[in-house]
Amino acid sequence: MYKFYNYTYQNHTSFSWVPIIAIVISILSIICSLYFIYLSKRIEIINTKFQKFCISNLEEIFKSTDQKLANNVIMLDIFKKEATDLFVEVQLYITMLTKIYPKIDIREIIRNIEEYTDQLYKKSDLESIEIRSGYISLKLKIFSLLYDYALAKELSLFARIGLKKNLAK
Amino acid sequence: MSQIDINLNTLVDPPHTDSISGRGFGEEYAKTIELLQKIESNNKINFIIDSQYVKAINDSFIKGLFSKIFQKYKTIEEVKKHIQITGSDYFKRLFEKNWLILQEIYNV
Repeated sequence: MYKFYNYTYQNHTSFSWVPIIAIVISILSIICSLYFIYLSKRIEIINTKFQKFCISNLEEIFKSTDQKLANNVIMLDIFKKEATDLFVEVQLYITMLTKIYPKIDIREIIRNIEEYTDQLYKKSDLESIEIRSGYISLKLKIFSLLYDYALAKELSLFARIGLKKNLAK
Repeated sequence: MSQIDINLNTLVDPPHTDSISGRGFGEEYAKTIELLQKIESNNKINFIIDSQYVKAINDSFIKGLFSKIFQKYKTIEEVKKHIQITGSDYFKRLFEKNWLILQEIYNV
């Protein structure tokens, strides 16, 4: 009789780590999930802000020139002045953006713009297709530089999850 | 403070050239006319641009012309004490927009 009681007592009171480990793992996985939800929301908000402040407004500045270049034969003499006016507006806008995103490399953007517009001024004759292709590649370069510097370099968040190097290339 | 006129019309030769461009050219021209020294000597510089001769000026030239001035004087208010543009409203606005860009660049 004594042996029977002793046996059942030992079975009910023996200590096991398994449930404790399971609880700890569950808590950790909940914390990780919440942290990743927080990270993804934060990235989403920062992206939306960047899209609205930077990309949408810049696209609006480019819009009328985009339409002219898409539909018409371009006269170089007229386009020289128009390119200067457009890209001065672009530079002004990006210069103001550096107040929000101070690491945007405005000098590199200006260097690229001057490279293209100075080419226009040097030439006395240029085919519409050459003007258009130069314009499109400059526009892409500007957007690419903005994404690189404003997003990748501003976000310590990306650095934390190891994306900074890839994005900043 | 005495006024010195600098005529940018002399930089074009219509009908062969009627536009001005190039940051390097702007920097060289600033050296040639000793722009910074003239300003440091407390002169007021009046740039004259006649739209009949000068059809377009690229912003690269303006940035080259004034980069040393903004490196030293930093703000548009200070630069305007020494520089004046005599020309169409278009050219006045173009110069002022580029001064604003230079001011922001050199005040970072």
